[in-house]
Amino acid sequence: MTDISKIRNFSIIAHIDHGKSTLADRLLEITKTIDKRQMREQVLDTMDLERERGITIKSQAIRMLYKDHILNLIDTPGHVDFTYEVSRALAACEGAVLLIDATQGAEAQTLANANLALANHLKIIPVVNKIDMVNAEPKRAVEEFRNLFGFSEEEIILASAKEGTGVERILDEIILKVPPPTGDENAPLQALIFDSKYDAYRGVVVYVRVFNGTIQKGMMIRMMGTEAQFEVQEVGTLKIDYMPKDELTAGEVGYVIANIKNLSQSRVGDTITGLNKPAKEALPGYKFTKPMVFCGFFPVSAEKYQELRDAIEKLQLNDASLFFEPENSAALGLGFRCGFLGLLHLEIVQERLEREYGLDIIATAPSVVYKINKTDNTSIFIDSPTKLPHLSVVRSIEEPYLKITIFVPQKYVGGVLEICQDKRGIFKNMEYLDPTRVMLTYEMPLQEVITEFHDMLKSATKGYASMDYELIGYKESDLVKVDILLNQEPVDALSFIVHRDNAFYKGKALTEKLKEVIPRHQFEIPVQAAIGSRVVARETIPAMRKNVLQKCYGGDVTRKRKLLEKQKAGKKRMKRIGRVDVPQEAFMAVLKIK
Amino acid sequence: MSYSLYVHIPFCKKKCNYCDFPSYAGKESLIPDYIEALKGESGYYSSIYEKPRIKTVFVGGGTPTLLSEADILNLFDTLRSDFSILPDAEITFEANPGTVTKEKLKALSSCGVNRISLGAQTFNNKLLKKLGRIHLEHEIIEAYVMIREAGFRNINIDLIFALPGESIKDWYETIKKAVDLKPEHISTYNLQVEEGTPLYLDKMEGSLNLPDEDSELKMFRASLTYLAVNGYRHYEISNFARKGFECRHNITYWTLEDYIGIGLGAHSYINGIRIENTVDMDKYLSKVFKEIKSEHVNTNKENMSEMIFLGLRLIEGLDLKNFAGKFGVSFRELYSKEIEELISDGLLEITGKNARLTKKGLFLANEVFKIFL
Repeated sequence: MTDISKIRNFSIIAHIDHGKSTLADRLLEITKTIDKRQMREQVLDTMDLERERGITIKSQAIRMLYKDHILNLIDTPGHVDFTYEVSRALAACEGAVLLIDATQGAEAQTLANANLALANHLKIIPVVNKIDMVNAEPKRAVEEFRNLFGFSEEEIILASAKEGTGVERILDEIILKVPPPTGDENAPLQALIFDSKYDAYRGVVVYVRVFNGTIQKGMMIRMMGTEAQFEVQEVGTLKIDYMPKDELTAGEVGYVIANIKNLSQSRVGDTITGLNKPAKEALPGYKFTKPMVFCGFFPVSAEKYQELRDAIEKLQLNDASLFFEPENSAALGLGFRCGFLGLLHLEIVQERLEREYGLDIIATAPSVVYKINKTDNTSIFIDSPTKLPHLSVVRSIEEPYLKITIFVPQKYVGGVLEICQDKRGIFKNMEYLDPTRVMLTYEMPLQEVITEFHDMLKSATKGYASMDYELIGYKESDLVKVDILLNQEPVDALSFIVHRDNAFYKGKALTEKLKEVIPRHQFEIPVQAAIGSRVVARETIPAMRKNVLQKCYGGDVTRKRKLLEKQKAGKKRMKRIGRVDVPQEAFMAVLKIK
Repeated sequence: MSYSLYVHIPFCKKKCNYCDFPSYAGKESLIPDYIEALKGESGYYSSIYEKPRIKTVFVGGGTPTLLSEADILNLFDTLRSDFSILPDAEITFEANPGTVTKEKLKALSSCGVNRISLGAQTFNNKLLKKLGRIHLEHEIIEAYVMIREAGFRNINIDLIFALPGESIKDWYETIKKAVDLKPEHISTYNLQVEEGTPLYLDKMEGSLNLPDEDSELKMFRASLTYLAVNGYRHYEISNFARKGFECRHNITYWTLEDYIGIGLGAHSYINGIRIENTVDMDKYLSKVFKEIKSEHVNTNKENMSEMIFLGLRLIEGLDLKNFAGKFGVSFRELYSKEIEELISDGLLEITGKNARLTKKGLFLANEVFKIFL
């Protein structure tokens, strides 16, 4: 049995690229959890995409032994799309190591993650990382720690995870300052699911933190949120591999395998209890995460529909927050309406479908979920502009708003204010972090944030701004739907919802953009934007007038055929709508309008 | 069963700036060896097909008129002994201004050559220079007069339009000058800037100044009307002829009939098989003919699509009965949906026994061809 006073459960939290993964590697090395041979850099990021993008998408946990203590490191996803997952991972801990990059200073997610940690009553160990770098400004980082969180200079550890400087002190302080878990191993079972993943051989593996009671092999358990019931087949702790043991008791972190078929039965944040001696209530904070951003995925060729379905289903096995349902578009045929936690989540799924499953897909422009208040005093939620009811029955439209926090060097503030205003942001607050850096707070429609906001912010601040956001609820807006007609036919997949003040401009910009990306055909193609029956913008793609290959010399027919085939192959990657071949980028064009 | 025969002569005084055909400048010393290799290949086909009957011969290049009289006589001796060239065969020899002499023409005539194709390309001296041609306008006319005086009654003039810096007026002048010479046949191609040519490099640098699509279209239209008015019948996308002087050799390509090609980089189509010779001169000179050929056995679908896109190049169009006879299916039934769409777009029409491009369809020929690939 495990001595609860010797356990420390902690996370490392940081803004992207502030060195979280490198520190994790170093901890595993120093505690000899992994030998050098096993050591791949950044062990905890396992998916290829994570490595490429340098972000952690799914969290994991690992158990280390150090100076007679058990240290459970619970890794957290590093992107704002996965805030809920982060908060559940933190809920499983008593402490957190908060990293600030000495070359960058505090960023938006430093603050957001620290706030999540504080909300979960975690003991925070402040660390200034990357002090070995030539452009490091540890003093400034220390200053920000003091200003933002009120730490004293003595508490703050100066470290270089890369070179190992200060890492042992971090381990020592975890033992010294992070409180051991409390809990009663004899009480009814309460175990928090902070992550779960699908393993092709073992089914769903659930990562848990036991708060009270004991979970054992053979025991019947129940998920208090989803009410699903299972028999436990195996429990254990995590190194790089699963290390089975007889039981997990209060305070411990480990995994549970219980013949769970899919992730929707083991949702992050849910509480596991025993069937025989159930806990009175679940651990706080469980929430069914709803997708915030939706888009359509359609196969370029219709016969790939089933393949696309199989691929999405497979991805969903490992991603409970991915939502999908069949969608039938008049323009694009059969496909799926998919829901995501955010834009990055969407991009990751799209990329995996294309890369891992080799599918050619058309993704339609992302939409948020609008709340439609109807004249009969009922309300509905729609996740696609095409689902907007006829305007005669619509009393008002509400859209989701975010509170966004932007950290930016003072000299770029002007540019950021301008962008936020263009994006219908409502100014809330501006605070100086230090004489050179500012924290801005805005309220902004989610739809605006998913429309190039990141890129605009990046280019206006040369990449120096960082941002975090949280959903704050719905607000009424004067919104209209803009329809696009190609060759006189409405193309449902190109419709978008926009603020009335921007409708004319956006309609015009989109028709111009479509004129650019849709190739010429043998006939003239009008491209129109309309609000209701009123056309607000029109462009014309002129007819192609000449395409003749003339010379066919010495009977070289093969060459002629190859040239024709090359031209034809270009067309194949496009989607035919009516008689117009539309390239993939046309469906995303609405996002590219500044 | 009779074939058409193509013979490739890959030598030039100077390589033109637009040319990406297998042809070499400054390698005239190889000509004797090359003629020997050609004779070898001709013998090779002769033995396989048992001295095949030949209804048309086309000696192209390169610059075939670089060959000496002796080379010419030598070559035709062999062709006539390896193949059974029919008495009424059309025998074309390509000539380039600046390389034509009375003696060579006399030799050609004595070999039974009855058609000369003169590579004029343009009558504009500035443009001739730009193309890297070795001759000027007056040399075209001199060569033409020489050919006529040598007694040739069937002459083609090859022209290229949409040249860098060419105006519509320039092109009008060129076709007018060509027509003034009263050849029996005129070919007009629009310039294709091929990868790897000097013009391509200029194009990449942005210094080429090619006419825009509209001007190109106007030039094409100008050829159609001007040549029609002057008695040249438009019988194939790029070819015009006085009645009875259509090039029989080229028509074998458009109607998917068999042809044998010999020489460097030459193509053959025999029995549904497309054969391509190597473009590597050393390999070709080794005379191991089995090893210099790559073969592609056309599928039925490929044969069909080729018959369609080649046949539609002819102004009278694809012969529907011929198609049905060859493939056992009706073109109109096989492609009923596509045909209907093309007709409603005004690109294709069905006359009694042919499917053919409309005038609009001619300009957009590739768009139509692609559909049948």
